[in-house]
Amino acid sequence: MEQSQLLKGVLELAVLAVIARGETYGYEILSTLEQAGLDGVGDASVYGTLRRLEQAGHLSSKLVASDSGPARKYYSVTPIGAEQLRVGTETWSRIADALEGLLKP
Amino acid sequence: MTADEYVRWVKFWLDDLPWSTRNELLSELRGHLAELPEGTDLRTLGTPEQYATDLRAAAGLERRRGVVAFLRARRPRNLVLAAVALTLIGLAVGAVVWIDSYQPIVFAGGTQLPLDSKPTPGAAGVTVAFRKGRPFEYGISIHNDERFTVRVLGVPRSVTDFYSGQLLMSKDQTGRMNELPLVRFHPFDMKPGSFRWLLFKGAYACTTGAGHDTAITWEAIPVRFGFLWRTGTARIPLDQPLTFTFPKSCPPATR
Repeated sequence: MEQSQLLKGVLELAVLAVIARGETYGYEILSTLEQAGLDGVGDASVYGTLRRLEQAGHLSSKLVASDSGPARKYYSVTPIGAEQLRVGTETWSRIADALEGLLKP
Repeated sequence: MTADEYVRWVKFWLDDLPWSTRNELLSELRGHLAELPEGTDLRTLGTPEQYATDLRAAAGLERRRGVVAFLRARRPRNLVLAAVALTLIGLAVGAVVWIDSYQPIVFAGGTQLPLDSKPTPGAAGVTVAFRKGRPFEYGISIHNDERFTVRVLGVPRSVTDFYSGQLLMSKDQTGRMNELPLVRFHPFDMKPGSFRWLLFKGAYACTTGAGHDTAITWEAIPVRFGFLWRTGTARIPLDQPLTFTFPKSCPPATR
């Protein structure tokens, strides 16, 4: 299975986790994900995920003028988003533990 | 492909979305492209179509269907279809308007004036004095001046008519020289180019309550006609006004 297919399922959790570290904007989120080793996630998928999370009330955003170009949209996690992150993290841990057990030779 | 071209193509693939949504997405894309290091090959983002598809998939934005989305998505095929539909609607509206305004009957130049008509002193036209019970006769010739046949239905009587009698008509006079006799009017098809006489024959009668020393002037004669589904009244302007004077008052007959 391609890495990108696997990642798509957990992208929401990853994006929430990045933003939970502190307010940030799209390009920086992508860079952080890449640096963390989650490359291969399409830029469009990240922006789409941001939009969906914001529409669901998990993220809030504000526009901040930028020196280098158009205004940047900074995201932060809302209380609902924080709860979603907590539940997601637990679920992920369970799945990861289970998979680890299954994948051991 | 430049950043602007890339945005334009993504916009093309998102055109069915509501404007506000699309503009937000595109504004974010512009911001993102501006952040990319100089010289980044935009092909790393995937094709604009792929980018739009991924964006939709991740954001949960389905391709919208229906008339509004169809019109928003300004694809060449949609534009052609919309243009064809608009043209057809325009033609249909134009046809209806044209049919509604089609009025081919005109005055053909012939007038049969009432007896004892005299030129109106000091003005254009002729004048005749109303004389109760005396014979009344008045006729005009009409002509179909246009390209389609219409059905002539009659001459509507008005509450101000001051005569009694009947409406007569001639045969089609095309190629003839005022070939009478006249017959009692019945609705007839009037072919393009044809002309006929319409004539009232009867007697002056007190039906209007015209007062002493008053006058009624005719400048046009109404003719009812039918064309396709529509009936209308053509007002046939006369070449000269015809005035009826009422030397005595003429009260309507009481019962």
